[in-house]
Amino acid sequence: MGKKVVEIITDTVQKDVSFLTDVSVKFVSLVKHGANRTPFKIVKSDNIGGVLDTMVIQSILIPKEQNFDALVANSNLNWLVDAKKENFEEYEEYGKYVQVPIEKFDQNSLGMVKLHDSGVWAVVGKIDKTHKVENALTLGKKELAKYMQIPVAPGNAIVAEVKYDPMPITFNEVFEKELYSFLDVVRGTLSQSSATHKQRRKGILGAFNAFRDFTLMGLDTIASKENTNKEDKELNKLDEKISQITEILKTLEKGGDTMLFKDNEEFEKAVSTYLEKRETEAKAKEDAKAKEEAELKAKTDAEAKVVEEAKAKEDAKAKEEAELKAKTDAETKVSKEKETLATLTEQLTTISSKVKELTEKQDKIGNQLTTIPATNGAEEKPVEKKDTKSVSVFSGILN
Amino acid sequence: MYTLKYDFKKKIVVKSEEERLVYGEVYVPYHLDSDEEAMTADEIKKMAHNFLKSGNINKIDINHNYEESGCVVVESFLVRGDNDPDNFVKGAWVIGANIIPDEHWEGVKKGDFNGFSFGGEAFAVPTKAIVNVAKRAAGETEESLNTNLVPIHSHEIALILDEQGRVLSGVVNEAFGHTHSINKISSTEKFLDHNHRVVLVNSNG
Repeated sequence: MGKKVVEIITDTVQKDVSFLTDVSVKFVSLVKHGANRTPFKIVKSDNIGGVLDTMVIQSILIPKEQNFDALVANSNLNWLVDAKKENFEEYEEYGKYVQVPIEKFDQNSLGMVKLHDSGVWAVVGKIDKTHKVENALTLGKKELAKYMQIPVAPGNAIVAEVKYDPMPITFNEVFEKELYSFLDVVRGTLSQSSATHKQRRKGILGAFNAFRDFTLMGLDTIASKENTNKEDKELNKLDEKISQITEILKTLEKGGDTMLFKDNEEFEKAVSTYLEKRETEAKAKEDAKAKEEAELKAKTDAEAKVVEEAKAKEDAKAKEEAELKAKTDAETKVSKEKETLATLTEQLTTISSKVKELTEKQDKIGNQLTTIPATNGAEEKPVEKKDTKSVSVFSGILN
Repeated sequence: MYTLKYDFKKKIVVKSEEERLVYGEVYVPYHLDSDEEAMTADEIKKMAHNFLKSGNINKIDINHNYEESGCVVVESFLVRGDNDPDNFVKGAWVIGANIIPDEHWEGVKKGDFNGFSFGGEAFAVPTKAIVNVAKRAAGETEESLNTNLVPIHSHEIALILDEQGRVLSGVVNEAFGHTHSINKISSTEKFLDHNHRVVLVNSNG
């Protein structure tokens, strides 16, 4: 991520300036613009940069036999003490503590990180820029080094760039590493001639459970990611994954003590059978979920229709009421106008008669002289009225 | 006569969301400030040492109000080399401050606080100096930090400056349907609850 900078072009001038000496600082201030005019430059404290610098934990996946509080208390996972535990999703073999809804993540950044060898994993990713998340758990350097990206198609080798590690980490690589770890345990346990049947059984099943948990967590995470992307390809991916497991299992060398499984073929079959069972269950669950969703949608649609009809009825009623009100208002207005007109007519009649009376009086006076009394004690002065014809200001109205 | 370098170098603050830390240069040697004043590296060293010797780690105020803000100086150092990995200028006094109060941390994120300044007592010795002054500047702003209203983004800007480094005119292009005015070269003005810091580098070398 390159720094954004603004280049300047300078010129040299001679200036009167002052040099400060013997400065005694009383306070350093946080200010909008620093005295020397250059701003804070913001970078991340871990100096990793790029896609990994804000990796937020989406969820923490813990095998069923593990206890979250015990893990936090007794291992190097004590930094998870602030993890939220209220959003817990229970799966067949493991539990998921959801920290941030998966929809808030940039789907292309989602990945998995192994937090502890006891089979504790985390789904991590970058928060999508359109969302805001507060108080989220983030990954430290140590965990980031183990980050792997989860591709939509598990068989494709999609690379997670890790700046300080030139080797790309892929889902396949991590998957194979987990698988070979499991196989190592199987080989090692079977080759220990002194081990009892019970010890072998415990060792192999423990490793198998850890591998199974990882596989299921990975597959479920891929499925969640696909769901979020609105892509319905879970079963195809599962098929691919099963084929991949089967292929790898074929490479298992024969030999050793076969107390637990007669031969590798039987072991391979056991794994395949188990995963096929999981596939069937997953499909059944998916079908049930789809049915439930369809029913819910039908119910919602029906409810929406009822609401829509009620709204239409209400709108029609409101319209009718509005029309009625408009009509009533119009009638009231006409009635009021009539009343006003009658009052005006009456007043007009009165005024007309008064004007008529005044006009008659004026006509009688005719050309007679009148006298205006002086108001300041001066001599009274006669004024001649020159125009003998009177014009009524109401003539326009009267005519 | 002194030769003052007025070449804007990167000033850096390292910020950690979890730890609420900011790192910045309090003062840089031979750089004119907005009052046309400057300091030598030796004077800066003396100033930095005296500040800590007096036990002033709580003496961080807000906009020179001379009241302790609750922020604390957790690191203090003088930049020793020319090629500091964080691009601090050689001889500068840098402090790392823990911005503890929520409202001040919000201020850092929203761009209300973009740098450090100091308040105190000093003698000023007038002199004549040859100074490199910025005439024009162009490039891209820092990305916004506060995404409450607008997603993270930056703007392209072009500035014409006077001899005192003040902005005579500035153009900020539009992004996400808005732009900003710019009155000082260190950052744009705030709009839609965010601003952008401007880091200047001298293209003359």
